[in-house]
Amino acid sequence: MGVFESFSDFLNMNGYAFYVWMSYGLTLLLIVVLLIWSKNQRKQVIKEIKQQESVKQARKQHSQSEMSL
Amino acid sequence: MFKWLHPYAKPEKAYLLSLSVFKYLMPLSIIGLFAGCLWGLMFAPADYQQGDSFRIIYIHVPTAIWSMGVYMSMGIAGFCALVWQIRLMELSVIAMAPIGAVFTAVALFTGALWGKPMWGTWWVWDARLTSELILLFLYLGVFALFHSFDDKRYGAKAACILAVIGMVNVPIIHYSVEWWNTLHQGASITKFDKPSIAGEMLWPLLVNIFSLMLFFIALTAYRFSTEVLRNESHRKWVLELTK
Repeated sequence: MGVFESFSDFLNMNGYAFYVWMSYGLTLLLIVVLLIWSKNQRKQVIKEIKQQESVKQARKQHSQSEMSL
Repeated sequence: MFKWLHPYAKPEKAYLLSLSVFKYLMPLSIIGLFAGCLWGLMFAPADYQQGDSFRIIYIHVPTAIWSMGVYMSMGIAGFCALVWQIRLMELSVIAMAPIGAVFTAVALFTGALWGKPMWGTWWVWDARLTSELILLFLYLGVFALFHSFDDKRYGAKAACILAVIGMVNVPIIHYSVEWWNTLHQGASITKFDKPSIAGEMLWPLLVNIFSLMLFFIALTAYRFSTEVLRNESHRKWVLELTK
């Protein structure tokens, strides 16, 4: 295990386990949240564009059917 | 050079370019960060004074450096947006702000988690820590201003102005450890001198610093491409793309 003698030594970090693993864990959490949030924003934008387009299409059809009446 | 650059001022080209930047750099940066963290956690020797608690350095220092680096690039982008009235630059400012905020928050809480065992306190109101906290508020301010106007152009302009003015804080953060008495130690790498850290400890740190830069570029490109889509939502090329 690198400079540590065993895996449990590695986890223990010579008594600093809480500080070290808390740092790495919280960082990972924040980065993952940032990535998921960015991905959701993109999905939302694409959804809105599709909605706006389908509304436009429906309006077009509606006005055409009125014209034919 | 401008002849070469010019097509990228077109939103469609900028969109495609930023997506391919994201596609290549994101996996590379993840691999780099994973390798750097593993190296730092398992193979770097323990510090003779701080023991294994020093391993927090491998996230604290890269995020702290890029919390300032991201702010500088955001400020420069904001300046360009204001002076040359480039809409794409405004969009890049809002793409960068949340990333910088996360880097700053990470630098702050890893600093606290490092400070507790080493200094005996989570937090002190000294120059380095306080100016870094102000940086976090600047990021949040830029993000909030952007979204707090009904007219998006006003919001973008206000956010850019704050981004430019806030740049004054960056040198204050960097030199705070020299200008004032502080609990925080001085620079170990970012100085015109030999780094005051052993090579075996330094290499994984450099890997992480470089990989975090790639991560920042990749995620900015991704978020920027989303903003371009939002901004151009009525254009034909966007409609064809989302079909």
